[in-house]
Amino acid sequence: MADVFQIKPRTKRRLLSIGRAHAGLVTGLVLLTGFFALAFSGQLLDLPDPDKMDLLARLAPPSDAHILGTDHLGRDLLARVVSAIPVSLGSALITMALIFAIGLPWGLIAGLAGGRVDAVMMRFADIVMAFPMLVLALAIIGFMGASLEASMIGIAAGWWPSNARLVRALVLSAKKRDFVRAARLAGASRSRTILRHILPQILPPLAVVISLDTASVLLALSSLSFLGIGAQPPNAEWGAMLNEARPFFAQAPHMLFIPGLAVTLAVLAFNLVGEGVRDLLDQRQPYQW
Amino acid sequence: MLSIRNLSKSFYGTPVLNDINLDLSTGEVIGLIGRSGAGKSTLARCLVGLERAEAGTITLQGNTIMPGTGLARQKIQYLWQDPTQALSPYLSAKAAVLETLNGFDIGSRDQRNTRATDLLKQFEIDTGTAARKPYNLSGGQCQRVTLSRALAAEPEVLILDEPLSSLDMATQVAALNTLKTARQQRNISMLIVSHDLATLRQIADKVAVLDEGRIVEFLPIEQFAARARHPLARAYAETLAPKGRR
Repeated sequence: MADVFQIKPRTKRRLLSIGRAHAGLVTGLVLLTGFFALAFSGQLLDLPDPDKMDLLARLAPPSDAHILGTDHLGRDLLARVVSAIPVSLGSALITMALIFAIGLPWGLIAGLAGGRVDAVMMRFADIVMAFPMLVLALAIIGFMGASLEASMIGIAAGWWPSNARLVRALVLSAKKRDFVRAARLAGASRSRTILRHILPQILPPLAVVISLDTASVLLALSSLSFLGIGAQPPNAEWGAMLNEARPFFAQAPHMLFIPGLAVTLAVLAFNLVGEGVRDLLDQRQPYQW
Repeated sequence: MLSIRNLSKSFYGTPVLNDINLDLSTGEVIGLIGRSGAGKSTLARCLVGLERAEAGTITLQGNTIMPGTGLARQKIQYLWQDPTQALSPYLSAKAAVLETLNGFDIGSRDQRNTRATDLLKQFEIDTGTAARKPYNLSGGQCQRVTLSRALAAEPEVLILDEPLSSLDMATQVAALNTLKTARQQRNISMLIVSHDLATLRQIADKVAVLDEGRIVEFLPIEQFAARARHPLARAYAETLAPKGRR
């Protein structure tokens, strides 16, 4: 049985060499895996209810009873930081999915169609881009009312044009490659050309952008929650937790430090993964993508 | 078969092709030579729709066609100058040929797999090599795969843009033999763009010399050395050693 789990020396050497060559990527992936493992194993850890108040233990420093201490309402900070993982990371990932659900087809259609269709679609994207992203997000939040959902929609509404522009630029370059034009001449249908010859070219660079942008979106969402116009109390969300900790900074600095560290580590993880994937791709010939 | 009438094309106001007229009969091979920038590749690309001609008509079997569209896309196939760049890095050699068979709906679905294997085998691409992606193939192998793919479309005309220029001498000879076989077996017409008259002599029936966007000489290959009058054509003729001494 032990043999089944034993890593062969050759595999071990290979894994170690990959780890050494791409330390950033490995660190980022380990951090993200850690976050997701924590998010899904909250119940296994037997943490207290993140919303359960204990006013007698408010602003308690880290102790055996509360490993990371408690907040101003006596809620366990570890439980709240862990229960905020799916909210904070989930909202960032869903916002990125929203951004790409608009930006990818928009850029793809504009890049493939060219001519007037491209011009009209890109001018519309330019108009949206003319608004500072946060101003547009604030306007949408003002219209919908302060909530995490509104801030996600607001950020996606202001963010997609830059991704659409990037997708368009990648498509313009990809569709001019000889092998794409050759495939089309040799009988590949339009949809097959897009799916089998164009998309595989643009997805690797997009993966880098998605990872790097997720970090920025996470920061933007946390900032809106910090300002009190994103996730609303009593929901545990890192930005909202920072906002709640603000008045108690002098008395209980751990209240600010713990969610702050979580945001920093999550942003660092997405950035490391993004940079790592870019480094990996840069080592390969574009032709071999 | 393929008829080009008064074809003209310019880039940013500079004429590249000027009133080109050329006829290609069934099974005939015409070589197109000329200096760099003479417009040879542009003419080849206009015939398959990679460039749009500004004036002129192209007819195939008497029907006016829009190159690169409809039936013309299938019946006029194009071989790229650099075969390694003409094959998708995401598809194996066999998948590339299958893509053409599927795309043009050639043969029954069940037969296409065998057909692709047979086509590749015909050009000495065995099953193992056919499973490789182009970056794991040599230039010569890529050229044979692109030729298999082009022939899979069952074309009537093959346009070849300097098909041998990126190959070493040994592979050039093999590729030339491959083209000769394709011509003999399928009676396909070919228009071959080349710099090298000596190579064209081994396969072409006629040679057209293109200079500054115009065809300045058009002669059967055997009479080229004797009858060429244009200074550029004469210069090419002088590169030819008498047949049999090479």
